[in-house]
Amino acid sequence: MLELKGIFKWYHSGNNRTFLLKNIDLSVKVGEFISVMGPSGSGKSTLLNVIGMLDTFDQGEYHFLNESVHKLKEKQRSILYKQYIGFVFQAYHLLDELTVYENIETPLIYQDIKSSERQAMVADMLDRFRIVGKKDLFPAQLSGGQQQLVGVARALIANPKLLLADEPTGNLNSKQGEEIMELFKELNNDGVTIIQVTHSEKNAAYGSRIINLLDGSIEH
Amino acid sequence: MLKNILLTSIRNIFRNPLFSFINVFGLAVSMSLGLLIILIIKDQYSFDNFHKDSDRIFRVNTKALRTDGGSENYASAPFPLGISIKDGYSFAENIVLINNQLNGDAVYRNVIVPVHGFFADSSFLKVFNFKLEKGNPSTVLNDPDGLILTTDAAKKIFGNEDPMGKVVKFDGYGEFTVKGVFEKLSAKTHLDFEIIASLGALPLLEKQGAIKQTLNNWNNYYSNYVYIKIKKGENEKEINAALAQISRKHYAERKLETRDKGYEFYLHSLKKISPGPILSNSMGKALPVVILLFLGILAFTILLMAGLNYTNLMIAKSLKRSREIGVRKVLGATRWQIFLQFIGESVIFALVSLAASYLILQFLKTALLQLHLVQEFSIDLTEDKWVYIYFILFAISIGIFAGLLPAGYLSGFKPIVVLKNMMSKKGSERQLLRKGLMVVQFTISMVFIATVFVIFFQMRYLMQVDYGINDKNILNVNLSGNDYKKLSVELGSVAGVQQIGFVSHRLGTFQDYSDNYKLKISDAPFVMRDFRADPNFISNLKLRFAAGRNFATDLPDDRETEVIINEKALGYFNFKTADEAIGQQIYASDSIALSIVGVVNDFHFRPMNYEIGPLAFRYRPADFQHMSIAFEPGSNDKIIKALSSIWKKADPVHQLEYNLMRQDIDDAYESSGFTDILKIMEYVSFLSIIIACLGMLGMVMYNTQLRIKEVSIRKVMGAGVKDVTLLLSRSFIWLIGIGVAIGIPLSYLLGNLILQNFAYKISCGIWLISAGGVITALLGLIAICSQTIKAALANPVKNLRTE
Repeated sequence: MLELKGIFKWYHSGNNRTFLLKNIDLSVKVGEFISVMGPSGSGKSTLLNVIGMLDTFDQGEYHFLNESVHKLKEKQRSILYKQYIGFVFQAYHLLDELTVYENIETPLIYQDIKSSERQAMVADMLDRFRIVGKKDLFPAQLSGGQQQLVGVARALIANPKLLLADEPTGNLNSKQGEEIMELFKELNNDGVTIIQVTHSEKNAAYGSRIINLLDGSIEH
Repeated sequence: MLKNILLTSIRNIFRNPLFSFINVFGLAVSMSLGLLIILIIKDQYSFDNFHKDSDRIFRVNTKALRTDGGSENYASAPFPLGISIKDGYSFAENIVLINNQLNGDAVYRNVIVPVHGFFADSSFLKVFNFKLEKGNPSTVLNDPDGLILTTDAAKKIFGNEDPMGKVVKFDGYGEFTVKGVFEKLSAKTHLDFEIIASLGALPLLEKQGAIKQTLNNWNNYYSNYVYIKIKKGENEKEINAALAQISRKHYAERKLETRDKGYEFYLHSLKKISPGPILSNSMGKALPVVILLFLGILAFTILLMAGLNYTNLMIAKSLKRSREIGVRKVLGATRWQIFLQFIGESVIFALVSLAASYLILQFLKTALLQLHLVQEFSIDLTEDKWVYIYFILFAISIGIFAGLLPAGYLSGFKPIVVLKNMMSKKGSERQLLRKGLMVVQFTISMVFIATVFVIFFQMRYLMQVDYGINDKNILNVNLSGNDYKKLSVELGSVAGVQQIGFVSHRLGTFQDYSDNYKLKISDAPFVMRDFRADPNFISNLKLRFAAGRNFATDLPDDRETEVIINEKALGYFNFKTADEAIGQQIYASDSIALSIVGVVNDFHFRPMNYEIGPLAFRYRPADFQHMSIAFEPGSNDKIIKALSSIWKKADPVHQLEYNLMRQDIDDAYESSGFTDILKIMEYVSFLSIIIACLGMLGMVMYNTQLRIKEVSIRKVMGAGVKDVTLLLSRSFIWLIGIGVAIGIPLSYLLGNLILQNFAYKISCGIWLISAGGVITALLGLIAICSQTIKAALANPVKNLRTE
C-alpha cells in the first residue's frame, strides 16, 4: 500500500537541527492494522501526518499506491489523499454548525458527488453505525463516544483505502474506547488498512502490528 | 455545495447574534444609502431613452470665450448656425432648430393659463420620437400659426373640450391654432415644454419686436437650441472641425458682445445631456454629474466603512473559524472551495442586509423628498423590476468585496497548523491589518463630523450676519405681471402697511440684472449689477447715504434720468469721494445718460458667497417684478390675510407668491443646495460614526473575550478595576487617537475647501476641527469602555472555574 524510505523531518533551533523524524523506513501492506506507540514527543503524530500528506518531510521517499508522493505538487497530493485516506482525530473535530448528517456528507460534497448519490451513501453509513436517529442533531448534543462515532463515519464515507487515527480514544472513557476499537477491528476485517496512534497497550493489541517510536526513530 | 454554504452561513449568523447584528446593521444602513443612489442614478439615466437612433442625435453647444480669459459653456447656440449647417454641410440628416422665447399666458375665451414651451419646426417631430395623439406630425407645424399641446396643457386651457382647430392667444405673440396634441409622455426628457408653436411664426414676431433679434443674429447664443441628427458613418471629430470653420467664418469681422472675444461650437451627444455637465441655459431638470459624483462618493465611503467592519470582524473571528477550516481541508476541501464558502457567506450577509436596508430605504425616501434638491429636480424614486435587479446585483457585489480579504486570508490556513493550535505566531500580522482598518474608519468619521461642524457654523453665520440693510418686517411679493400701481393703491389702505416699494429682483438672492456702464460715452464700458427700484424700496431697506439723496418721487415712468450707486462703484468711475460723484453724468446700456443723485454705503445685495461689488439702483418701472411691503412689527399675519383677498380679486390666474425678506435671503442658500448638503452630511457622518463605533465594539468585545482568562488571573493577583480597564482599553484608545490625529489635518483641508465658496466665512480654526475630533474620540471611547469595564468588573473566579 505505502512505503516510506529514509524519511527525515527536522527544524532548526539556533544552529542545532532538531529531528522530528529520523531515518524512518516503513512499509505497510493492504489490510494491515498498525498501531504506532511511543512516549509524548516521540513523533507519532508527525509520522501520521506525513503518511496522511498533511505534513511535509525534508528528506526521503514516500510511495503511496505506486505514486511517488515526494515528487507530487500539493494539489496532486490533496487529490490523492482526498480519494484514498480518511482521518479520525482525538478531538473528533466535527463541524459545530453542521448536523450529524451534514458532517458525514461534507467529504462527498468536496468530491463533487451528486446529491442523490450522496443521500444513499450517507443513509447507508448512518445505518451501518446505527445513528439514524441522531442524524439531525448537532455535535454539541452528542456524547463524546457518539461524536467519535460520527467522526469515524465521516472518515469512512468516501470509501478510503487507508484510515488514519490519531489517538481516536484519547478523549473517551474506557467503554466508549472499546466500542471504537471493536469498530476498527470490524473495518479492518472488511479490508480497510488502518494506522492508529495510541498510548494504550490494550488498544494497540487490536492491531496486527505495533511500531514503537522513540525520538523520531523506529525502535526495532 | 451551495446548500452547504447556505446552511453553514445562516447557522453562523444565528450562532453569533451580536457579531451578526453589527455586520447586518452596519451594512444595512450604509447599503440603504447605496440603494437610494441607485434610485437617483436610474432616474437620472432615464432621460431621452425613447428616441430612435439616439446615438446619432447631438446638440450643438456654445463655448463663449470671455475677454477676461475665462469661458462659459451654453447649451444654446445662435439660430443662423443651424441654417449655416443646413445650407453648407452634408453631415446632418436632419436639423432641429428650437427657439425658447415662447413663455407667457395662454388665453382662450375667459381662461388665462401660464404655459411654457418653444418654437420648433416639423423636423422636431422627425428627430425626437414624441408621438401625437391627434394631428399629422408631418404637417402640424408647417403653417406659421401651428401649435401642439401636451395633454396636460390641453386640459388646463380647454378642459374637456376637443382642442383641435381651436385658436389660442398668447400675450405678446398673437394667435395660434391647435393642430396637434401630444400623447401623454411617461418617460423623462430634457426637452422641457408644454406647448410647441411653429417656427414659422418667428420672422413676423421678430419684426414686431415681440422677441429678441434671433434669425440672423450671430450674437444671440441664448435663445436657440440647435440639434442635429447626423448621417450614419459621420465622424464627431470632423463635424466639430466643421463647426470651428463656421465660427471662424462668421465671427472674424463681427462686433461681439462686450464681455466676449469669440465663440466655439461643439457637439454634445443626446445620451450625455442628462445627466451631464453644468451648462448655462440648459433645458430640463437633470442633476449635474458632479452632484451624482458627490453622492456616489459619500455612499461609497460609507459602504467602505461597513465593508471594513465586516472584514475586520471576520478576521478577528478567524481564530474561532480556523479549526473549521482545518477540518474542512482535511476532509478534502481545496483552498478555492473554502474561499468560495467565505465569499458565499459574506454574500448571504449582504443579502440579509439588503432586506434590512430596503426597509430603511423607505424611511430615507420620505426624508429625501423633503430635500430642495429632489423637489427642484423632480426626481422620481419609484422602484421597478430593474431597480430590484440592480439592488440584488449591488448587494452581491458588496458581499463579494467585503468577503475578498477575509476569504483570501482564511482559506490560506494550513490544516496541520490550525489543528495543532499553532496560530499564535501569525497573530501580530493579523493585528496590524485589523488595527489599520480601524484607524481608517475613525479617520473617516472624524473628517465627516468636523465637516458637518464647519458647514453648520458657516450656515449659522450666514443666517445671522448683518447684510447692512433693514431686512426685518418686510414682505416680498411677486407681482406676477400685475399692474403695480393698482396693487399699490389697494394695499396701501391695509392697516399695518407702512410703505410699499417696487423692485426688479428680490435682493439678497442669486438673481439680479447687470448692464454696461461707463462715465463718458467714448469710454470702454464695464459690467455692473443693478436693481431697478423705486424710492420706497430704497427707503424700506433704510440704506444710509454717503452723499446725495434718494430718487425723486416724481420721476417720469418712460424716461430714465437718475441713478444711485454704492461706494464700491465710485472707483469704477474714477471718483475719489462720494460727494464728487453727485451730479455727475454716466451712461448705462451704452447710451442712456443718467445723473448720479445719491451714493449709498456698501451693503450685501447678493448671498455671502460673493464679495460686495459695484451696484446701481435705477428707476425703471417697466422692470418692476416684485413688491416690497414694509409693515408694522407683529402685523404680518393680518397683512398676509388682507393681501390674499385683494390678490384673489386682482389676479385670479396666478398664485400669490410672498415671503418675508429675511426668509428670502436665507432661502437663497437653501436653493443653492447648501442646506441639502448639510442635511446629507449630517446623516452620512451619523452613519459613519455609528458604523465605526459598532466595529470598535465588536473588536473590543472579541478581544476581551480572548483575554478573559488573563484578566481573571491578574485580578486574582490583585489588579484593580482601573488597572484592568486600562490594560484592555489602551491599545484601542491608541487606534482612535491615531485616527483622530490623521483626521485633523484632513478635516482642516476639506473645511477650507468648502469655505472657499464663500467670500464671507467663519474661520475654520483648529478649535472647530478639534471639537469634531473630541466628539469622535468620545463616542469611540464609550464603545471601548462599555466592554472593558464590564470585563474588569466580572468575578474572576467564575471565569477561571469554567476553564
